[in-house]
Amino acid sequence: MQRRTRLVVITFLAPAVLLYASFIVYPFVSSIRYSLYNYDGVGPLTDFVGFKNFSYILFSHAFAGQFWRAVWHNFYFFILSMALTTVFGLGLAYLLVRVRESISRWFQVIYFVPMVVPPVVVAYLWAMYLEPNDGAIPTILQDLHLYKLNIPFLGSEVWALPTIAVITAWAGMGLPILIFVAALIGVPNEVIEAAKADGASQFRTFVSVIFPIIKPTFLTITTLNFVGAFGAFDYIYIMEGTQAGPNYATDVIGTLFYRTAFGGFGTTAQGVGLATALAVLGFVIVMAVSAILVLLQKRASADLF
Amino acid sequence: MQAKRPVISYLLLILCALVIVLPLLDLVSLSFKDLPGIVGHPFSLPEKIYWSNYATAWSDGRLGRFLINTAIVSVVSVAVIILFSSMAAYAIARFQFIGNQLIYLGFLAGLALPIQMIAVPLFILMRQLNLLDNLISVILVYSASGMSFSVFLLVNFIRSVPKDIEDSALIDGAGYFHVFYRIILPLIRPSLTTVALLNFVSAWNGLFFPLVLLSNPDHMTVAVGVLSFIGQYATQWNLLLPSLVIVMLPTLFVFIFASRQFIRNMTAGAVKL
Amino acid sequence: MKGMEKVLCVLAVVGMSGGLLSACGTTGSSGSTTVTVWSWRSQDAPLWQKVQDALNKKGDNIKIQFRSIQATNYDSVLQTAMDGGQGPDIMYQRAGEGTEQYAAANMLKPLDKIVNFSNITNQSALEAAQYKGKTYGVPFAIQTMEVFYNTDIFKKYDLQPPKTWADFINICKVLKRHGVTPLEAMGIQGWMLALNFDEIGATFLGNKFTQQLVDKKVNYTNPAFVDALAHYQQLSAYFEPNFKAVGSAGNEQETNFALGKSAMVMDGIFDIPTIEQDNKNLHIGAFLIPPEKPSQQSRIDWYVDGNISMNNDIKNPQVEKAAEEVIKYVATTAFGQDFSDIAGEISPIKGVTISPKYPLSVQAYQWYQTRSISPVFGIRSPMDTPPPTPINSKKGNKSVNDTNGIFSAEQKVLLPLLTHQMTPKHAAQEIQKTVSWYFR
Repeated sequence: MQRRTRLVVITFLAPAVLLYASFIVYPFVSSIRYSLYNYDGVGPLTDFVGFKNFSYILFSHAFAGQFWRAVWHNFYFFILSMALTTVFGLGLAYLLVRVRESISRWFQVIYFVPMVVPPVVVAYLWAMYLEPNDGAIPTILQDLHLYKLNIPFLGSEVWALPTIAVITAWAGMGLPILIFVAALIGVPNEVIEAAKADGASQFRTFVSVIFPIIKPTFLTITTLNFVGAFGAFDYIYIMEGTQAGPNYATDVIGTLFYRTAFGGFGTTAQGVGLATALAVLGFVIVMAVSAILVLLQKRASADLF
Repeated sequence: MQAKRPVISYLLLILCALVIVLPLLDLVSLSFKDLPGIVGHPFSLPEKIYWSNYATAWSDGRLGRFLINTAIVSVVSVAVIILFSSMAAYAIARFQFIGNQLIYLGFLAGLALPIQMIAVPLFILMRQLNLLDNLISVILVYSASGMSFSVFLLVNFIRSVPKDIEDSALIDGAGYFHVFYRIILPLIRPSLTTVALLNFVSAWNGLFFPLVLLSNPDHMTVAVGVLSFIGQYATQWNLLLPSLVIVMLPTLFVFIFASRQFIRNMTAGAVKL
Repeated sequence: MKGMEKVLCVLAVVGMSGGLLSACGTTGSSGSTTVTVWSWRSQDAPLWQKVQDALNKKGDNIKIQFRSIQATNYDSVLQTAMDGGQGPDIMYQRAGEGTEQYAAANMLKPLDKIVNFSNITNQSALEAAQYKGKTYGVPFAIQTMEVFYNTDIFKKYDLQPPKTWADFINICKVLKRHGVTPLEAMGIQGWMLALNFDEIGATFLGNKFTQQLVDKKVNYTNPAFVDALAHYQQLSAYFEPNFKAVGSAGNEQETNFALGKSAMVMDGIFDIPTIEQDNKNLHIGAFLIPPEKPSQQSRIDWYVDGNISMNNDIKNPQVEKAAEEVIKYVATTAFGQDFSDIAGEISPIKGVTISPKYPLSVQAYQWYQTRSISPVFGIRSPMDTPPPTPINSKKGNKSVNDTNGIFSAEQKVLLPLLTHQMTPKHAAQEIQKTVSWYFR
C-alpha cells in the first residue's frame, strides 16, 4: 500500500477506533480477568482460580446442564426471530416498496414506534393482554370459540419462548423493515421488468431475481438477529423473572448471567467471577458464528459485481 | 417497482399497522386513567379523563430538567457516531489493509457485550478522567458503544454499492477526502438516517449508564425520570404512562423528520445502478 | 454539504455545554457538611429531611443529600460505585448476604464502637447485619408475612378467620363452591411463592425445630419440613385457574385481590399500600396460617428488609465525622418512630409505636412481638447467607464458589411442587442438596 493511502486510512479510522478502544475494548479486556477469580463482585480480586470457572461452567454436574440449556434456548430464540423477521420484516418491506412512497413513509413510522417504548412498558402491556384468566387475548380467543389456541402463553413450557419471540418482534421489527426497504429500493427496475417479460411469476421473480440482489442485506440482518438473540434478556427477565420460568423454559445466557452475578429479589448470587466466565463463553460463541456470517456476507456482496 | 393493483398490499399493511397501533393507542388511553382504572379495566376507554396525571408526572418525574440533559446527550452522541463511524466504515469497506477484517469484527463484537460486565472498569476510567457526574462521560460511552452497530451497518452498505463513481472521480484526480465528502456521504445517507435514528432512540431511552456514571439527581436523563415511578413492590402506572407519552413524542418527531429526509433521497434517484 | 456544517456546529455547542457542566459539578459547600445517602426506597425522602432537621437542631451543621435509585438497578449501581471507590457515605444495604459481602470486602465501617445498639433487642434481626462478630449496619425495617382476606366476602358467606388448618381448607372449599377464587397466587413470581411457603413453615415448623435447623441438628429432609411442603401443596387446589401462568406483570395477585376477584391472598405487609392504591374501598383483614390443632401456636414469618450502613472509605475526615453522627441517629427511637410514621412499616427499634392510621401494621407488630418465628429458617436466615469470599484469604480454597441460599433453593422447587410435578419429599431433597454447604 502506498504511503499516502496508508495515511488516509489511518486518518479515517483513528477517531472511531480510539474512542471505541478506550471506552469499550479497554474496559472489556480489563473485566475479563474477573473470570479467573473466585469473586463475588465486591472489593479487590484475591482468590485466583485459573480456568476453573470455565471448566465448572462447561463440565460440572451442577452448572453445565444449565449452561447448555441456556445456549440451546438462545439458538432456538434465534431461529424463531429469523422466521419472524423473514415473514414480517422482509414481507412488509416488500409490500412497502410496492405502494406509494408518501404512504409507505407513514407505515414505516408506525412500524418503528414500538422501538421507542421502553421494554418494561411493552412487557407490562403484553403481560396484561396475555393474563390467562381475564386478559384480552384469552378473552378474544374464548369468544371466537378458538379454545385450542387458548394456551397459557407465558406459563407454558412449550410456548413461553415463542411468545416472547413474538413480543420482541412486535417491538423491534421496525429496524429490519427499514433496512430491507433501503435494500429493496436499490434493486434496479430493469431486472424485474426483464424477469416479468420472461413470464416469471411474482414469487419466482422474488426468489430468483430480487433475493440474490438483497442477499448481503439479508445476511446483515441474520447477523444482527444472531447477536440480538444471544443478547436476549429484558423481556424474559421482566415477564418470567430471574428464574426464567416456567421451570427454566426461557432461561437464556442473559438471565443465567444475571442470576449468577446479581441474584435478584432475595435470591442469592453465586459470584461475579463465575458470571463473567459465562459472559466470556457466550461472547466467544457469538463471535465465532458472526465471523462466519460476516465472511458469507462479504462473499455475497462480492458476487454482485 | 410499484404494483398495478396494490389493494392487497394495502390491506396487509393496514392489518399489521393495526396490530402495532392498537396497543399503542391503548397505552395513550391508559395514561389518562387513574390507577384503579388502569389495573381494573385496562381495555376500556377512560370514563373520566385525568389530565392531572400529566401535570403530576411532569413535575414528579422532573421531566423538564431531564429533557434538556437527554437532548444534549442524544444529539451529541448521534453527531459523533455519524461522523466517526462513516469515516471508519469508508476506510474498512474500500481499502485493503492488514487487520481490516479484524477491526471490522472488533466493532461487531461490541454488540455482543453484556454492559454490566464493563461497568466497573468504565467507572474507574471515568473517575481517573475526572468525568464522573458529568454528561460528557455518558456521551463518550454512548458514542463508543454506538460505533459497533453503525460501523457494521455502514460497511455493509458501502460494500453493496458499486465503486464505479468513486473510481472515475479518483481517476479525475479527486482526493480521498473529496470522494468521501462528495460521493460516499450522499450515497450512504439513507443508512446514516437509520444509524442516527437508532442511536438517538437508544441514547434517549438509556438508563443504566446515567444511573451509574452520574450521581447528582440534576444530571439525570428522562429514562431515569420515567422509570422512577417503578417501585420495589408497586408501580405508579398512572404517572409512568403519561411521562412515557411525553418522552416518546420527541423521538417520534425525530423519526418523522428523518424519514422524510430518507425518502427524499431515495426518490431523488441520484444513485442507482 | 450542509449537514456536515450542522454537525460541527452541534459539536462546538456541546464542547461548551460540557465545560459548563463540569463547572457546575465543583460548586457546593456553604459551611455545612454534605453527607450523601443512597437508597432503593424513594418513599424515604421525607424521612431524611426529618433526620437533617433533627441533627441541625442538635447543633450539627449537616446537609443530607438523599438519592433514591430504582430498586431493580440499585444493587448494580451501588456495587459499581463502591468498587470504583466513589460510593455514598451512608447507604441502604440488603440484609444478610448483601451486607456481609461488603463487610467481607472491608467496605463498610464496623459500627459497634460508634452506634448504641441497645435499642435493638431482636438478636435475629441484628445477625442479618453482622459478619465475623462485628455489626455493619443498623436494621431499619421488619417485614411480616400474613394471609389477608376480604372481610366483605367473608361476611357474605358467613366465614370466620380459621383456627385450624382444617378450618382454613374448609373456608377454601366454601368459597370455591360459590365460584369465588379462594387464594390468589403468582406462579411466575418465584420469590413470592417462597415467601408464601415460609408463612406455612413458620406455623408448622415452630421455634424448636428452626433452632435445631440452625444448629445443624436436623436438616431440610426432616419429616416436619416435608410435612410443611405437603401442606403448601394442598393449597394449590384453591388457587385461581392457570395460576402457573400468572405473574408476568409483577403484581397480579395484589390487583386481583384488590378488585375482589379472590377472597384471600398470602402476602407481605409491604404490599398493603399497593392493594389500597388499587381499591381504596376494600376492607382487609389478616390472619396467620393456622396450626393443625387449636392447642398449637400459629406463628408469624418475618425478615429484616435491610440495614443502613456507613462507607469505610470516606476520605474527608469532616464528612466522616458527620456520617458518624447520622448513623448514630439512625439507631435512635426518634428515627424509628419517624420511619414508622412515614412508611407505616415496622421498625426493629425498641420503643417505637405504630400509628393507629395503619391498623394492619399495628396488628402485625403485635404478632411480631408475641409470636414471631425465631430463629427464622427461610429468607435472611443463616442458611440463606452463604459465606462471602473473604478479602484476606490469600490462600483461598482454589475452587469455584457456587452456593445458593435457602430462599433461592425454595424458588427452584415450589412451582413443580404446586403443579404436582414433584412430591414434597423430592422437593425437600432438592432443597437440602442446594443448601448442603450449610450442613457441612
